[in-house]
Amino acid sequence: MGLRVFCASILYSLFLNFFVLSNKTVKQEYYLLTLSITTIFEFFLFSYLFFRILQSKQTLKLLYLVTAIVGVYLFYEISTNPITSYDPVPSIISFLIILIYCIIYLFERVKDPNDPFFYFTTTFWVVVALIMYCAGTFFALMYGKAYLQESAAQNEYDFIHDSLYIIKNIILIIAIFSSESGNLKTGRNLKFK
Amino acid sequence: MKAPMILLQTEGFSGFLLFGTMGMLALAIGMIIFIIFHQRKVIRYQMQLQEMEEEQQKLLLNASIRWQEEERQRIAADLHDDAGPLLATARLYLNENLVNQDLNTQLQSIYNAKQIIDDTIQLIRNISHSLMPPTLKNFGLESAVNDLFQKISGSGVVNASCRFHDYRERLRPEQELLIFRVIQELVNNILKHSSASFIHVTQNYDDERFFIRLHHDGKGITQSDFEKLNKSAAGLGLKNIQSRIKVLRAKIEFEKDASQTYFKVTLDIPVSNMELTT
Repeated sequence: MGLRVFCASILYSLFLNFFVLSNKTVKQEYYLLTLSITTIFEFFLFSYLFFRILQSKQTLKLLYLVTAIVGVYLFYEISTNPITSYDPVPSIISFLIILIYCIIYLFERVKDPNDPFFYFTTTFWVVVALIMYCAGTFFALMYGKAYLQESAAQNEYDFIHDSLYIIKNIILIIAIFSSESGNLKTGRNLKFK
Repeated sequence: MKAPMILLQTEGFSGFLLFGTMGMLALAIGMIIFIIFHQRKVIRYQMQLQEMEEEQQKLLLNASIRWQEEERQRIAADLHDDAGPLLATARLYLNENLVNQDLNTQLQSIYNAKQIIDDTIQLIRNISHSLMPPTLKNFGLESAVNDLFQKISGSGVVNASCRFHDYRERLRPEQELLIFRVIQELVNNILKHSSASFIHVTQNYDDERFFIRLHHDGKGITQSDFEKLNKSAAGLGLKNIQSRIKVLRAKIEFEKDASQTYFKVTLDIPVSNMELTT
């Protein structure tokens, strides 16, 4: 499930880079608009991942509610803000929510005694990749706006972002080579009462 | 003047950004490492538990095999030492008939042979009853326990009594036999080790559960003693109790009464779940 979500994200990025951002005729304001749309797309995509992998019904209900509220806020932001300026607040909020979802997922898995080998699973490593990426870029997003005009700072930001992108992809490779079931991977079948 | 300010700001930002990002990453990595190590600890603990459970199963199985062997030896000894000589003597008397033609002697030896065969029949009946009490089979657990306790009380050393409060419907024969064997073993232990002057058994039925409570005023054991003995190589009888309890999917609790005057053993057997484990 996790890999499919990341595949969708990568396909979207490819589409964006090749057909939209590489197009010289696209104006700067549309570039910023594209960033905002990307934030909304990624937020819903990763939220969908957690809707599928979380098991507690109560937590899921809470997640639906939070996702709906944040979704409404993101759409409100994109429709009311001028497209000539970039506002990092929606990105910060969506990253923060995704980070919280990741922590909820890990907490749920740790509490479940039936699958102690969950850290061998694809889903776990996908979530780890997501945590690393969101946690790493979160700080840069939060304080980046005031300094983004400076080219040195922009380079710094790019360096952090690209490094984390590579780390994320390395972790995704681990995820690809992990099995969907921890018990199958380790060849163990522990049943605990 | 403006250029150095921008540079300073940029350098400040650079350090700030790097430090912040590193901090966030350290937190994330710390959390993931903590989870992995925690899970490894959980796995180790659960594997230890499983090993302990397997060890316990092995002990129970050994106890069960030993008990079967002892039972076989006892039956073999009964047959060999009692039934064998009796039948050999009967054969001698019958052989005597072939040799001695005197009618009175013949009648006497036939009579003697008949007496011996009667004794042998009684002996075999006793062996059979010890394997499967007929009272239990025909009249149920209450009568079998009553029967057992009457025999014990008859000795005059221990006052044994029982009272079944709610036993309108009989349990399945296998369940009855298992419960009876557990009671038999408990009573046997009390007679052997506790120097009790009274044993009292009560039965109750509550919320799909069948309760047997056994009280005695002798030297008893508590739950921790029972578990300790169960884990040790000694205590074959207790292991047999444990394996029967497991088959019944029941619970057993050994405790000292709050008044500290007598010991209590409670058997809690689920009745709704009629399936026995094998």
